[in-house]
Amino acid sequence: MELFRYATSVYGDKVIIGASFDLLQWFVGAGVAAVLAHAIFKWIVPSH
Amino acid sequence: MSSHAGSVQAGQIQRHKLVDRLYHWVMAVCILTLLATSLLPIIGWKFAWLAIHWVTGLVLTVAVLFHIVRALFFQKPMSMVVDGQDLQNLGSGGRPGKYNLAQKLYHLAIAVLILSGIASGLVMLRKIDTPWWRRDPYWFSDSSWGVIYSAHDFVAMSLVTMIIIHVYFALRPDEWHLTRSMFRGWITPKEYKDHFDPKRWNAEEEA
Amino acid sequence: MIVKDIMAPFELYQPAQLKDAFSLLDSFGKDAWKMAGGYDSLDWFKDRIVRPQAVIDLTGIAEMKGIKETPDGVEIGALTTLSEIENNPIIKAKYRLLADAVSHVASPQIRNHGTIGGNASQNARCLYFRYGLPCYRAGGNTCFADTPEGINREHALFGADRCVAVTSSDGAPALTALDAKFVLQSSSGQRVIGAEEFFVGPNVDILHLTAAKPEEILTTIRLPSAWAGKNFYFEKVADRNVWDFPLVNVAAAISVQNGAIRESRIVVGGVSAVPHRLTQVEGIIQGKALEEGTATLAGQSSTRDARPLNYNGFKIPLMASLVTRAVRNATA
Repeated sequence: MELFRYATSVYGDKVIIGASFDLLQWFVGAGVAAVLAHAIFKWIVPSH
Repeated sequence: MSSHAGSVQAGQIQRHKLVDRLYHWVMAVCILTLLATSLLPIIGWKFAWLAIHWVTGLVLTVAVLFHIVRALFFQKPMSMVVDGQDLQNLGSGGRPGKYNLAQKLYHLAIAVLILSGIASGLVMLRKIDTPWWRRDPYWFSDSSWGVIYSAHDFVAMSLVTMIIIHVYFALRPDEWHLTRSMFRGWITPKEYKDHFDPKRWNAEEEA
Repeated sequence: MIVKDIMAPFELYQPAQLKDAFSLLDSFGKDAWKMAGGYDSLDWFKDRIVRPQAVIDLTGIAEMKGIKETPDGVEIGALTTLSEIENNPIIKAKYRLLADAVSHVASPQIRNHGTIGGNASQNARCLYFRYGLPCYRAGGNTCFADTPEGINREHALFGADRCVAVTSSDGAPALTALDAKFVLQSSSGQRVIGAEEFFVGPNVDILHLTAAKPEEILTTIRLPSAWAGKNFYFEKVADRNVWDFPLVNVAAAISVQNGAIRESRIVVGGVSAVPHRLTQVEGIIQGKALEEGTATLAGQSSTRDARPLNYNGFKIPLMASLVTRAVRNATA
């Protein structure tokens, strides 16, 4: 899995053309993980 | 005092004025529309997305400019800035002002993301035909455009993470008074007493 | 650097049944490439722009070949060659428009092996895209054709949305004019969609010219009986009379009753990423007498809303002229 999408430019150079959208699942996962982490924390330490 | 829906009545403490709530929901609709029009086609739901996307982006830009002016000149901008007391409260468990540390950090992150998204998006508008101009792809070099597109892409994906977290907190029962205040504008005196430090947020004065 | 004429290695699979093709598509996913006659595919392979891990040659699947009459019209297997369609007595008798259109494709040798499914599904011929440059259609961030220096005499007049490439199919406008239905099958089932849903513009999908998903195979094209035996007209203008893609082509199916136009479907190719159906023109001429004035009116109104690029302005009078001729000369 790569962070960026690449292409070959008119001049033959490898150039970045954007972020890799394969990362989208990781951003969704990060949100879900944060939610789960907080929910579990509040469940274990309700009064915090 | 008027009694129409959404207005603050006796026994209620105003947290968000109507104009601020409207801004919040306009921004929410814009962000969700922008994410839907950009990410749904990528995951396979194909439709004519571009015009909806850039028009919504312009609406969001105007809304954010309005918010910046209002927050800086007609509200108390420092109420959203992290200060020493917030950090002390981490250890002592003291009550926050109008916004707690998590809300301030969230606001900071979302502000950076949205301003980055708007800045990169406005530049990207130069690459498409609009009623006001024909596109010009030669503003920047290929690699510079790549950096701008990457920034825009990362902002979009990061906003997905942020929205998941935001919706979760909005739905938590212990945060319901905050969620309600974004719909109705008010919290109860008990909620004010239980959750906030009157010295740091003088609701009466602000109202 | 783009290496020409030397294909990168790939695994070749030649399934004999559709279900085997589906299982190959499912197992290789986006690393698979579906190939019919191969005239579009081999260009990509030789230019090394497309480097699939697995090429699935569909030409051995017998159930995707042939022409048969049904109660609702005619079903054409997507692997039916263009020559078979051109010479088929049913098509010639009832859907002469399609026979005329495919007879204008490339050269006899290519029509002997090229298929109707491949012809309809072929990718854009924009020279920048085909050269392997990172344009929008290739997943990049720019269009090299729609620039002050861009060579765009073959590009779009209508429906450009960042990408200005056009459909170069001669069969697609005829299929659209005949209100063809496209049967797309995959391991999870089948869906049947109309031509106007099958062909997609850059506003909806900038990477593809059809709505076929990677896991789907276009298996059959159905021609409804509603347009069988109507007045038809097809004409193609290209730089060469044979073995060339259209600059503009027109396909018209017109239903005439008592000398008046009852209903029509007029479709122009080479001016948009999709076969450009002239629904406004169809509305204007509906009910009018089939005469010179109506044909002229159709031609004049056909190019309204055209947005020419730097070098393709000639397509506007060309298209108007072709539409006029189509309405004037459509015959049963």
